[in-house]
Amino acid sequence: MTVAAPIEDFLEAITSQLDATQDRLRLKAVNRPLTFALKDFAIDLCVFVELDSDGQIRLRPAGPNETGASTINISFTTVTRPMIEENTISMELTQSPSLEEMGLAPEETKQLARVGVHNVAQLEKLRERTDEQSVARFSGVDVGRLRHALQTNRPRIDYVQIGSRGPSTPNRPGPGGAAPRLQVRPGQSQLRLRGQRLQEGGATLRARLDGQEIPVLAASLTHADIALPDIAAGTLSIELPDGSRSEFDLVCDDPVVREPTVDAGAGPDDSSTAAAEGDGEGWE
Amino acid sequence: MKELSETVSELIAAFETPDIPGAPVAVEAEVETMVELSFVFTGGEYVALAAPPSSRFVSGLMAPVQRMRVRATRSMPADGENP
Repeated sequence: MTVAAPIEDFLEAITSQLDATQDRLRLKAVNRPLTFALKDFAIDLCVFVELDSDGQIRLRPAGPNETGASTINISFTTVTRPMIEENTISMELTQSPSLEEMGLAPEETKQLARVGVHNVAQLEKLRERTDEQSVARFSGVDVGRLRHALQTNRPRIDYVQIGSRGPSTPNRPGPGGAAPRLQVRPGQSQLRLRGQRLQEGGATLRARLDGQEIPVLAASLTHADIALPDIAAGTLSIELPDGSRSEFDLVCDDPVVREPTVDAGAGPDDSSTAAAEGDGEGWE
Repeated sequence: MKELSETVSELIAAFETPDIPGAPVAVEAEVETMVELSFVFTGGEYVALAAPPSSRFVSGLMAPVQRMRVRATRSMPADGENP
């Protein structure tokens, strides 16, 4: 007897077969002036609809001599790229931490999935259009849990790393609430920021040195590389995808002068000021 | 039982005409047929298999039969569209 599976598994099985058919027909077109192309495909699936213990609908294809199966009519047609883009969520919106990574319980993620929310970016988009109370009311998730999850998962920079062997500087205010201090040696041309949600929904962080925009070389959810100008000194301002800002006091240090002040053992938790070492552009 | 893609490809290939000058050419084919459709779990994924509804006569079992409709059109590939 065939094992029951979610409906998307059946759709995937059929669509991959239709893609294979289309590929075969296109190959045939290499040597033939006229070729067939698959336009529409429809199938009546005889299945038994089951509900598993997680509340997920599963289908089991009817076997020989089994009666009483339901019939599901499925039609496929060829679509163009603009049609796909119009009818699916953008890939950019999927680049966001999942609700499980936010710390929500499996039952809560299921409740949010029923209102079309599968990740943090989608939750924030919905909250912007309505408010937390509405999201909580329609999904059934406690509003306090939602607020806490959104608060703790805001975009943030945890550490900044300079050069390949340089220690990480924690993003904590210096004495008197001053911006964290970053010491850069001449010749070091990149900074790596580590944190969470540094890129999301197509938006990436922006960096400015004394108001002058500087290029972001690469960005992902958890890290971003920033190019530094030749003389890197001033106030480095990082604008995160949600519009919040982090500032750093960037100091270009002469290695000869700086040498006696280097604390070789400085770790992420030792101080808010850490010296940069190494001149390579690889990262630990 | 063959994979669904092979069955559909062969079904469409049945409408191919020989490359003889002056021979009539089918430009659109719409086939509605009954098939035995089944799914097997292999290589970590479901694979759809399809065959004409003949196995019942061999095995003696009444395998479920599903209606399948395929529409294919024939056209001249544009320049650069070939794989």
